[in-house]
Amino acid sequence: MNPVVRGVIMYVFLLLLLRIMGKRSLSEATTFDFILLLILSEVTEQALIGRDYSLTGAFISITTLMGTDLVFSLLKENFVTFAHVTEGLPLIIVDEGKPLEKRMKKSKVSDDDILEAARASFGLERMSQIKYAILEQGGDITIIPFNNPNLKKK
Amino acid sequence: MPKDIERIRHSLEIEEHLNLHITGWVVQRIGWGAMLVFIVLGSLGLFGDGFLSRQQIIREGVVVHYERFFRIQAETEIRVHATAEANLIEVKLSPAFTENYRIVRTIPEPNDRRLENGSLAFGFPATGSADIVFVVEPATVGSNVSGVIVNDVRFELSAFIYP
Repeated sequence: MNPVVRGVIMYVFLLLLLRIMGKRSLSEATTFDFILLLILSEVTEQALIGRDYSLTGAFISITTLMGTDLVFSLLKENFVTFAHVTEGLPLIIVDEGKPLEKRMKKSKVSDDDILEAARASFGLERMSQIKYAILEQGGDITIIPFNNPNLKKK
Repeated sequence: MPKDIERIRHSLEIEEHLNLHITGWVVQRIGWGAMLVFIVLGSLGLFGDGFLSRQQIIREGVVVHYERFFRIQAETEIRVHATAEANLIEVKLSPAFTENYRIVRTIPEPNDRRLENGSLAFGFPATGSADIVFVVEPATVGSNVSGVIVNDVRFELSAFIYP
C-alpha cells in the first residue's frame, strides 16, 4: 500500500482508538501503560513502513504524519466543534469538596486518582480541602484548593 | 443518553459542554463494543489464522487446505495432500495464483519446476500419499480466485485478502 495512505490511515485509526479508550487511557505512566506504549509503537512502525527500510520511505512516512497532524491542527483552529470532538473538553469532577460520582465513573476516575493529584500538586490531605478537581483534555487532573494562604503549589 | 449526570454551577472559566461529554461517553461505549466485536471476530479467524478462515477442499482423493481470509504480506500455508501417481505428485499453479501470491518456499523442495502455458508446474517425487506445503504471501488486496491443479485435479481457491 502507498506509504502516504498508510500514514494517514494509521494516524486517524490511532486518534479514533485513543479517543474511544478515554482520556485516562495513556495519561498515567503505570507499568502496564509503559508496556502498552512500547507495543503500540512497535506495531505502528511495522504497519507504517512494512518492509520498506529506505530513507525515502522514512521521509514519506514522517512527512505524511506531520502533514496530517498539521491538517488536523488547522481544522481544530478553524472548527471549534471539531477541536472539541478530537481533543475533548475539561470536565469538573469535584465541586466544592464533593466528588461528582457519576462524572467520575463515566470518565474512569477514582477518588484515589483525585487524592493523588491533590497530594502531588498541593500536599492536600482530604477531599474536603479540594474546591474543584478538573479532568483536563489530556487526561491529567488539576486541583483547585479552597482558599488557604498556607497552601502553596508544589 | 444518561440524564442523571450532575449539573453544577461553578466559578471556573472553562468550557465544559456537558452534553458533548455525555454524547462522547455514549460513542465511547459503542466504540468499546466495536472493539470487542473486532477482537472476537479476529480470534475466530475473520482476518486469518482461525476457524472462520480455514478452508478445506476435497476432490478425487486430493485435499487442499488454505486460508480463505488473510492479510497482505503475511505468510500463510497452502497444504496439499495427494497420492503419488507414477512416483510423482504434480502441482500446477495458475497465472492468477502467481499474480495473487508470492511463493516464499515449498516443503519439500520440488524435483522439477517449470513453466507450462503460463502456469508454474512443480514435480515432487513421492511414494504413497504425501503432504506438500506452499508457504506463500498474498500479494494483492481484495477477493481473488486462484487455480491449483494437483495430479490433473483442478481446485479453485477463493480468498479475501485484507490490506
